[in-house]
Amino acid sequence: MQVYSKLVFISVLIFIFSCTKNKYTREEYLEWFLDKDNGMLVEKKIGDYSFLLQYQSKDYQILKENPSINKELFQQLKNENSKILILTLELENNKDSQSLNNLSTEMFNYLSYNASKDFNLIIENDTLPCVLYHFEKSFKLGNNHKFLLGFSPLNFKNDKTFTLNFNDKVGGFGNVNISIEKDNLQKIQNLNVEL
Amino acid sequence: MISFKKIILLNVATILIIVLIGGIIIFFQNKKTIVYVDVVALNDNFLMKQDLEKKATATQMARKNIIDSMSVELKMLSKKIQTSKQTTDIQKFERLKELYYIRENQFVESNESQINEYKQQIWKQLQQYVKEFAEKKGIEAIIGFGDNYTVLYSTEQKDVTKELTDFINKKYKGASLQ
Repeated sequence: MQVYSKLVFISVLIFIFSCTKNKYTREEYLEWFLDKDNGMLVEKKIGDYSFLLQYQSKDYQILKENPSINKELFQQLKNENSKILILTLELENNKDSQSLNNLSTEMFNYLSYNASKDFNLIIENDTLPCVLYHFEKSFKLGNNHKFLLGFSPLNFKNDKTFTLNFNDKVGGFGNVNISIEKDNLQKIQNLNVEL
Repeated sequence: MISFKKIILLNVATILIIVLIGGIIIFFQNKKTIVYVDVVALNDNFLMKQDLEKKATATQMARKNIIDSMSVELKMLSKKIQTSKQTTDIQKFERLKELYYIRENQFVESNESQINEYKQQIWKQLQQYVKEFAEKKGIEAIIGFGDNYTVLYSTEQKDVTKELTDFINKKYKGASLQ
């Protein structure tokens, strides 16, 4: 009887492990980063608004920018020494699609020119200023505004939880914190891209 | 010797038991309940409130320092006028006095509007986190007790103040807690 219970246990284990995947095509890899369940795309709701934070690893950036990339070029670009941590942030209105298109001049000026100093990245006890900032207004094409944010942490290897802090001064949100968790970041190491 | 058919049956039985246990867990998790929260404690222990209180106090202190130094300057000028009685000093005193009252009113108004703005920001985030907590736990209603709220009796299990405080503080710090 013991043999058969072991057999059941092994067959259950085989069933579980056969479901985990670690080899991805370029498209699957990019999709993995857009799946909220994987923790690289985190949503934070405040009232009618949503903040969508996406972490873009170096591999993700390379693959996204180069649709027909080969293995050699991928490795070459990977080895280039860029240490900027890139995040994208989207601000959406879940109820009124027009409210974001009709930004007040004060809000537009703030988001275009002054908000960069109100974005910080918190990694453990370090607070890092934003070194790359780009605000993209949606001009009636959608109900979301996009931000491209860059930070330069020292020796970051996808091994620590980090928190984006937006100390909003005009929008009425106040202090907005969104984290990308360590446990999710560590999953990136197990992703192998097949090119 | 157990046949292949029995192994399959054993596998099926194991899967059925797992599904049954899962179903029971989901059933109890989704059971709608009514819980109670100490609103005063929840509000006082909300980290966002504590952060903004510190920020407001620092701004108010800076403004108070400006008003205090203007007041000292006015007192010194007043003494000087009493001895010298020069027209230029009297004019300077009047100008400074006027500026002092304008500044004082401005600061009172700014302090009030800053506090109101912070209260709105706190309420907005608190409301969102409480909603997410209730949805996650399958809670039907959260009844507040504390200062102006009355709950005459509730079992300890129904008081979720500590659990909710932990949840809202983790959410405020950025955790997704899906």
